[in-house]
Amino acid sequence: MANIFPKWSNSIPKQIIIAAALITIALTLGATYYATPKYLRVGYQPIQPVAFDHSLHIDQLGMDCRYCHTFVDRSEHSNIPDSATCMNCHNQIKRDSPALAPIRESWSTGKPVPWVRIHKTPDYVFFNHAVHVNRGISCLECHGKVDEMEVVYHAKSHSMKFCLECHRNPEAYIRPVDKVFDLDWMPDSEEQQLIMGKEMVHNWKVNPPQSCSGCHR
Amino acid sequence: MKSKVIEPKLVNEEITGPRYWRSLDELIENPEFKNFIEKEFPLGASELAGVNRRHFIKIMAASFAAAGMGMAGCRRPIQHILPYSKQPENVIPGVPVYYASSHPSAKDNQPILVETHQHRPSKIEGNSKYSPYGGTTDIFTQASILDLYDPDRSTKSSKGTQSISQGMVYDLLQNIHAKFLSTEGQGLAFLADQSTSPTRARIVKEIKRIFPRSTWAEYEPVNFDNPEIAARRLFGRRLRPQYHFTKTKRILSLDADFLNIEPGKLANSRDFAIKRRVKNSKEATKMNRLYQVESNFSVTGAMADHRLRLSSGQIPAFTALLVIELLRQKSIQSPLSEELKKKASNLDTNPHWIQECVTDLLAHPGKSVVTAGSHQPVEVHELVYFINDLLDANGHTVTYLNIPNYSASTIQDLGVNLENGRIETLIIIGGNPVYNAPHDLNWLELQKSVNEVIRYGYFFDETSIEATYHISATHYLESWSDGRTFDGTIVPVQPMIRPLFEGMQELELLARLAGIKKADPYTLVKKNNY
Ligand code: HEC
Ligand code: HEC
Ligand code: HEC
Ligand code: HEC
Ligand code: HEC
Repeated sequence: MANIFPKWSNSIPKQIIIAAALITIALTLGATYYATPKYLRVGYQPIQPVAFDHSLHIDQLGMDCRYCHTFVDRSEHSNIPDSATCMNCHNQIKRDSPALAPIRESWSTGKPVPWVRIHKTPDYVFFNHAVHVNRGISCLECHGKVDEMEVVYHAKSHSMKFCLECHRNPEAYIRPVDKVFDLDWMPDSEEQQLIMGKEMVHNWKVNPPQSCSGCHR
Repeated sequence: MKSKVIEPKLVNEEITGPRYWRSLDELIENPEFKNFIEKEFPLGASELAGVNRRHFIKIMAASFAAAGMGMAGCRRPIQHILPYSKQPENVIPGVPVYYASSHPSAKDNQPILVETHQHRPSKIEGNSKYSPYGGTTDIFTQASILDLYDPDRSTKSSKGTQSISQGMVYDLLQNIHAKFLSTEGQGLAFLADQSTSPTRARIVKEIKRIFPRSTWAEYEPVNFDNPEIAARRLFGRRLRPQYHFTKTKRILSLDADFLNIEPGKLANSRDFAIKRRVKNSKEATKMNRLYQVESNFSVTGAMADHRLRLSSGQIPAFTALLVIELLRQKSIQSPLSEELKKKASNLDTNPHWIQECVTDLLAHPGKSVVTAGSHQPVEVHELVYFINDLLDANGHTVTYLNIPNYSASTIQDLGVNLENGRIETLIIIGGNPVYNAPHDLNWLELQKSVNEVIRYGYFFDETSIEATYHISATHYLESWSDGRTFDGTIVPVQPMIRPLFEGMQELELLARLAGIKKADPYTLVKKNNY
């Protein structure tokens, strides 16, 4: 009787196993790279209704974050300024600039400016700005160098790993409370940071939650 | 030799294999059934005209694939942050603001703190500044926040099935005021909820002054009036018993669920618990002891040390026996004993229980108290006043609060007037009498017999359906008012939010009917000069 299967078919099982292994590896690598917050979020830079430029207002004009994000040290939510805040200056400076038309319209009609949200933690995560900002955690750690951004983008991954990295050793990130809003501040050296950080963590009894219920309430 | 093999003739079954059937209909080859399976789909599953099913699915699959190509479902949805245009003062987004107010009810406005987020009330808790309740509330107060957002609440005033504007409501009220001013209110009647608000009482007084011939009736389907009625019969004054369980060592409760239902329950349960809390066995003598006679296994009954089951209807007889036993143990000769004996003659209960209970109560003069459920008849409450006197409880474990004199007719009085056809205009404020008026009154018929019925209510309910006009009410979290707690403390009712719908506040409605010029409720409440 003739062979039903030709000889070359002997190697098929091996080929299948190798192909399956390769596909699995490709999928895993692909997912870890492409399907994580680090890839999906970092760099997210939507077009805003008003081309507000942080670098101009902060770096050049020297404004403090709290002039606009007024309640960042008092609330879990960091507010985006109302149109009246912009109009404090812009009813004199660049009064007729077309770029500012939506602000003027909002100011006169009472309707809000629809800023596009950039940073967003999922609903199952509890986050609080005031707790961090009042304990010497700078905006820089979580939002990057906003003061140099012409258009704000998602600079850090905000994944769970990102949060935990700091919660596990806050001494590497903590800084004097009066330097929180100064995004240009730098420790003299890494050792200096650790010495200072350890002291602050000890003195202020800083104790970031690492248990799941700390963030997933 | 060729042997002949006779091939057996194949029977039908062998050609086709065994014949299976799925139902008796099929087995007997019912023609109706045959027709049914031939059509493949039962009746009703009619085919799409023009496009056949396969074609339809093909197209749909293609369009789903095309939609997936752009991976639109995988993109992050765009969200907006909408800040205020002009940030109001004292509002920090993300930080709740708390307002003090109180939840109105017939006898007891519970002081509350309302959590609001950007002025939207979200949660009610007791106001701990009011120490008798220590920041507690009851279930009704807790749940009242849900009424505010109830999709079933009435959102518009209406006449019959047509909605009417706020302006038309003002005109309506103005017209009623003008019409009855000349007749001194002849033919005008009111039926309202009970209220603790001094401001409302003041406006009602004004209404009675300008409409002396009108009827002002108040009705609560479940009321707690009997102790006060008994006091008026005995002492000629409206008095309200206030129990002081922190000073009480022996309690006898006659069908009173004073920890859970009776007004003042919040203070009662806190005080009661204080006398139960002991650290070790040596302090056990400091504990209070509760005797409970009741018809229902109540929350209070669950706390009792001695519990006697007795139907509600037998409580009057039981109270009589109690008085007899008290008089006997105190060796007081009184003709009352004989009379009460007649009342209690056919009550079959354990005399030993009563004896022991009375002995225990008497062993703690000035530290024991008897209380009866508000639903018990007035006679029981009269006897309870007497018993507390015998126990030397009056002034010690129970004191009496003077209630400002205020008179209202009952729904029964009003019913008589309606029956006589003397009422042209009936104004129903709150409540829902068509649903819950005493059955004997036949309220629905009475209400239908009136020419013009104006219903002010929070829901468009049974009563509103049978009314000429329905005026939409505001929630108490949208209204100004005031009120009193059970012990007479004045508490405010203040709005947290502008009315969500076009509604009218109760005080404004009454003020407009009374023809008061400044009918704004805030001004009305302020006039009391607290
Ligand atoms: C003059 C007002 C102003 C000042 C000062 C200001 N911001 Fe902003 N900020 C805005 C406005 C307006 C937006 C929203 C528009 C946008 O995203 O560009 C915004 C957006 C942001 C966002 C993105 C929010 C999101 O959608 O997730 C971050 C992060 C931020 N600011 C950080 C800072 C930091 C850090 C500082 C101080 C160094 C600062 N801002 C100072 C006005 C200001
Ligand atoms: C402290 C004053 C001040 C405040 C507050 C302020 N700005 Fe400005 N803004 C300026 C100045 C100064 C310039 C630069 C003008 C120039 O380039 O000559 C400017 C420029 C701008 C421009 C560029 C306009 C153009 O036509 O080039 C935009 C857009 C703008 N601001 C948006 C905003 C918005 C949005 C806010 C509120 C969140 C705001 N600014 C608040 C001072 C202010
Ligand atoms: C510990 C990390 C962390 C720090 C420090 C921090 N932020 Fe944020 N920020 C976040 C996260 C996470 C979100 C998204 C919050 C959400 O979705 O509710 C956010 C959101 C925002 C937003 C958008 C509005 C909102 O609350 O959703 C603004 C504006 C903002 N941050 C400004 C600031 C400023 C200004 C500072 C410094 C004073 C600061 N943040 C410091 C983590 C941080
Ligand atoms: C750069 C450091 C740093 C990062 C990044 C950081 N945290 Fe924290 N977090 C802290 C510190 C420090 C504290 C402790 C504050 C204290 O002890 O009072 C804290 C406290 C908290 C708390 C406790 C707040 C409370 O009310 O008790 C929560 C929740 C929290 N962080 C959530 C997050 C989440 C979610 C993220 C990621 C989006 C995050 N944190 C990222 C430093 C950080
Ligand atoms: C410091 C705060 C923090 C702590 C502590 C924390 N988480 Fe998370 N967790 C986060 C954040 C932030 C995210 C959202 C990450 C994102 O948006 O991708 C998250 C997301 C998740 C998710 C969803 C999957 C994902 O990665 O998006 C799971 C599951 C989870 N956490 C489980 C846990 C468990 C289990 C623990 C305790 C061992 C824990 N978390 C402790 C902050 C925390």
